[in-house]
Amino acid sequence: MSRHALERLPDKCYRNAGRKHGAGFGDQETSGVGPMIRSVSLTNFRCYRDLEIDDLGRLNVIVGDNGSGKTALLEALYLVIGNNAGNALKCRAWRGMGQEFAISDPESYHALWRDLFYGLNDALRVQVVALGSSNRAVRVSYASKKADIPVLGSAPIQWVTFAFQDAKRDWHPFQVTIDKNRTINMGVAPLGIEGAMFSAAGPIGSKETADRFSTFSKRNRQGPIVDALKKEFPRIVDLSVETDASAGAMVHATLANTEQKIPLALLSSGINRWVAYLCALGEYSGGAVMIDEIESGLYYKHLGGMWQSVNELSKAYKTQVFTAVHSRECLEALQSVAKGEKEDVRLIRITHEGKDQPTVRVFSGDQLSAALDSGFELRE
Amino acid sequence: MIDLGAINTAALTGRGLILGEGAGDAYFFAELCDRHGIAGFAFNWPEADRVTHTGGIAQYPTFLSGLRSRAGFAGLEALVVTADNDENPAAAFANVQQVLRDAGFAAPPAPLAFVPDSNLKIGVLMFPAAGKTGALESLLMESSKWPQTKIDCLSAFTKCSDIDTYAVQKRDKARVQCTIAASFKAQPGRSLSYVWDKAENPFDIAHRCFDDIVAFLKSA
Repeated sequence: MSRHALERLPDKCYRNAGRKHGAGFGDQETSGVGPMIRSVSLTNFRCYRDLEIDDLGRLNVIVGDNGSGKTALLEALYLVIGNNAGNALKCRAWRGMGQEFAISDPESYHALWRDLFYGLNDALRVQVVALGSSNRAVRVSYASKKADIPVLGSAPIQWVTFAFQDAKRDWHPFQVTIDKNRTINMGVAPLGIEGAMFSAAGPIGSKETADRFSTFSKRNRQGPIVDALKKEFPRIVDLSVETDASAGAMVHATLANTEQKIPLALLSSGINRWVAYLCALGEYSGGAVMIDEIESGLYYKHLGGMWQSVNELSKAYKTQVFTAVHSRECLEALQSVAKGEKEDVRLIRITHEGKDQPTVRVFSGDQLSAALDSGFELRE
Repeated sequence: MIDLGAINTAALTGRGLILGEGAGDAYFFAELCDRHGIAGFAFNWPEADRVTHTGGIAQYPTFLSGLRSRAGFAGLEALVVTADNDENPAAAFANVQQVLRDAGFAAPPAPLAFVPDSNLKIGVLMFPAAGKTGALESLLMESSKWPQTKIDCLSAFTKCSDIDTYAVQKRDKARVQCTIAASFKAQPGRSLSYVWDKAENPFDIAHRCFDDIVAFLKSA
């Protein structure tokens, strides 16, 4: 089969299509009106047949076994805050299911989207609805009619449709089509809730983080990020954006007793990820940031500081956080935040209990804090 | 040594959980359930607060408030909360009811009765018995295997040493300590937690004074 690389996705965190860096970073006192997403309902999305999750908080910590549906929940949120089919393709790439799309016939086109559908049954309609201070919904389904003109092989094809509902309840449907040049056309809906997602395994986009940090820095608001790092890593004296001859702009660290600044990514991938999370929290003020395995790459003793800084920026910029956590140490370190933020913190546990979809339970900050005080095992 | 089931912080795996004030309570219940073939219970007590070092019933609010989010809670069918009546059985029971309600659980109207709470039933067990002053140790003294002559001797000692002037629950705790010390020649300082599987154990776990508790747990 001949392969046609129609689009290649860079290895990094993505912002929504059509959005410029620095659009967030609003006044900390006035931007946002509390958690954007109070509840989310998933229908026929990946492992979720029909599920509603209520009472979400500003800082939502998700636990669950491998394969329980943690990442799928984050992806559902990422899909609904998006404005085209791109976020679905990015999730697919992050899961290691291919960054180069080889679409040569209707089957390879359908295979691109099939993983979105419950039971891989693309006869269903996927729907994700997020309700809160701003409502948003997305539907994914196949057109009932096949395209008249076959562009892939000899058979006509059913195009997949992504439809986004805005806060005024108007739908913006777009068919994802392939043209004669084998380019994907996916349309762009108006943005609603804004945000970003960080996958567990994907590298951090250095330029993107640099752009965000630069926006912080220009407004002289980089203090909380720099201070959080200095507190945990006394060797770090300061952070700045510098241009690397080959890689372009990157956040660099000034280290004590070291002449040259070095790229954060070179210093530590864990620190680099941490700074990327914090910068995204500032950029998506009033929006949502999804982080898969927030503790990834961080040494245990910095987990408390990481939570404190994530909470501080999430609170200051009113950016909602959804993050999956695996380690007990990371959960225990969460107590440094949970105790003082009981109104805003939630524990979301996802389990498989022999049913046709995962069971999701949401626990309040009070329950979480008391459980952490009691030393309870929170992971099934 | 009897297996306590899920330790105080681990994921719950059984169908029931008995919450006691300390390790002594937990090992007592483990032995009692084992003796009477009551299966599926874990026996927990709250860890002492790391700052204030207070434990026991003072930590019930925290323990119970966090319990719903503990792994395995969804599989729990019965929760039994136990406490000592001390000198005021009515106040002690009312306190347990309040602690349960504050933690978002239903509270039974009386000791030795279960109340439904979603898929769970919740019961409260007061020591030594509903309406009686004292503690678990009061009941243990009733179950003493000692001959009457030794019991009389212990009574004489607690009288002349002024132990009898202590509050009833403290008096009976002192009596239990004396009984253990006099029973374990090689290790007089042995904890109540670790007497049950020893030949020198001075308490009869099959004693009729535990019958109401056994019947209650069997009904869970």
